[in-house]
Amino acid sequence: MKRFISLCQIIFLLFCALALSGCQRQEKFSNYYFEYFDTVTTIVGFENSKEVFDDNCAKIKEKLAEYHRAYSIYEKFGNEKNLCYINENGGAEQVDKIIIDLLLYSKEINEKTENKFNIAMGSVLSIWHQYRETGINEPAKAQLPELSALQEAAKHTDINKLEINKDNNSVRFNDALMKLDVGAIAKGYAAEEIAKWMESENITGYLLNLGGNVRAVGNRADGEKWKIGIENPDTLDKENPYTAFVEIEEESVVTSGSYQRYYLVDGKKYHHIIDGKTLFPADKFLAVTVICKDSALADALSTTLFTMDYEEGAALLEKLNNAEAMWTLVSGEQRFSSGFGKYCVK
Amino acid sequence: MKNKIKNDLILVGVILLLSVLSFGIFKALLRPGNSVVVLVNGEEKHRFSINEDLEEFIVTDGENSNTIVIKDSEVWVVHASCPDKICASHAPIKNEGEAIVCLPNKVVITVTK
Ligand SMILES: [Zn+2]
Repeated sequence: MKRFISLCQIIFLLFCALALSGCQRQEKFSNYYFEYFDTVTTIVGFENSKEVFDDNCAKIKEKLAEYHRAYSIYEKFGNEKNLCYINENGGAEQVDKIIIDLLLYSKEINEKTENKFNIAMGSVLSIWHQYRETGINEPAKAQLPELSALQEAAKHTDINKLEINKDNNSVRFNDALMKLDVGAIAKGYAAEEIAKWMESENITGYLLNLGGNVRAVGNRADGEKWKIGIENPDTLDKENPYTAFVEIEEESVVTSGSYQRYYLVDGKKYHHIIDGKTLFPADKFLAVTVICKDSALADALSTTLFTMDYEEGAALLEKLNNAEAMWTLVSGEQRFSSGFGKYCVK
Repeated sequence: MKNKIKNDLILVGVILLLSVLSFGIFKALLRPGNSVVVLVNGEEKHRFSINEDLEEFIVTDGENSNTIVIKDSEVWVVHASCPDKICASHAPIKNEGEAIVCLPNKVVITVTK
């Protein structure tokens, strides 16, 4: 009898152990979406079941859709006063708060970067956008914009002409030919805001990836840090698919590169990151990766550093004191900011 | 073309797919995966063993296509109908968590456990 009880106990204990491990062992799931920010969004997370994960993803998707609509500069959605509407009308009254917040933050980064980061470059960038679209869709018609047209557009890029009133949520352009382009910050800003919301809802142990704009939302359920492989911008170097591996917990990692979004004119590549000085694609680097807490800042800085000299960019980071970067030069050589190494896995 | 990327200015640093790696402290310790999963518009459409060679499998929705090859436990895109061909220039992948994305065709090829 005694032996029987102990056997029962053992079975019971085993059962408990199994049940417990079942609770603790969360599985990793991922979902991919193509409908936001004209890129692919990947959500990775640890949950007990696919159902719970999908439920959380559905909530995240609602947020993504909201930011996507508000920050779109080429598409309007009904009578929503999004950025496309604001660009067409040179401003608007009673704008959604998420737009006001983005614009105010963009102005703040503009000041911190001494006008190197500028969302008022829309008039110049829209010309490139148009030529690039044509060049990609109809390669035979690929052409470069006239420098004179770019220079004319560049006269209407003064961010001080952007008037934002926080009290009544209104926006006004004091230059009728000015246009906003938030392409260098919108995804990062949305990722950051969504991540903060997830933290407040206790949806953690997730990784958001908005087309290369990566934000970790809490540690993985298995206790490991998130490990991100940064792709080698030299895609022909099949032996070395990654230039670095970094580990993050709550930080963001964003890479800007010249090698992906481009079009060809007479066999030469013209990519999408435009230098505010030359008004032509910046040609100093193949890629710049930025790591910092704030995904919006990481996004904005990766583009900004891409257009700056390495020395100038490194000095800016020292001054900001809250972001690290890795530059991949055209030669393939790499440069690192002083604190980048602490994120690297070697 | 509906799939067309209208707003590539928002695409800053995009398509630079940072592969999310599940494990591995050193590059050499990256964990080779077992399955190749093909998703079209976010939905799983095909699943193959990465250890069985697959010659020119065409992923298509009738209009667009990406042709994949699995050989020596690696998978890559050999050709594609998309205008940018970024997927076809991507290095072969073999480790858990790595992915190749074709944005215009909304195709993801990823390696899992
Ligand atoms: Zn493709």
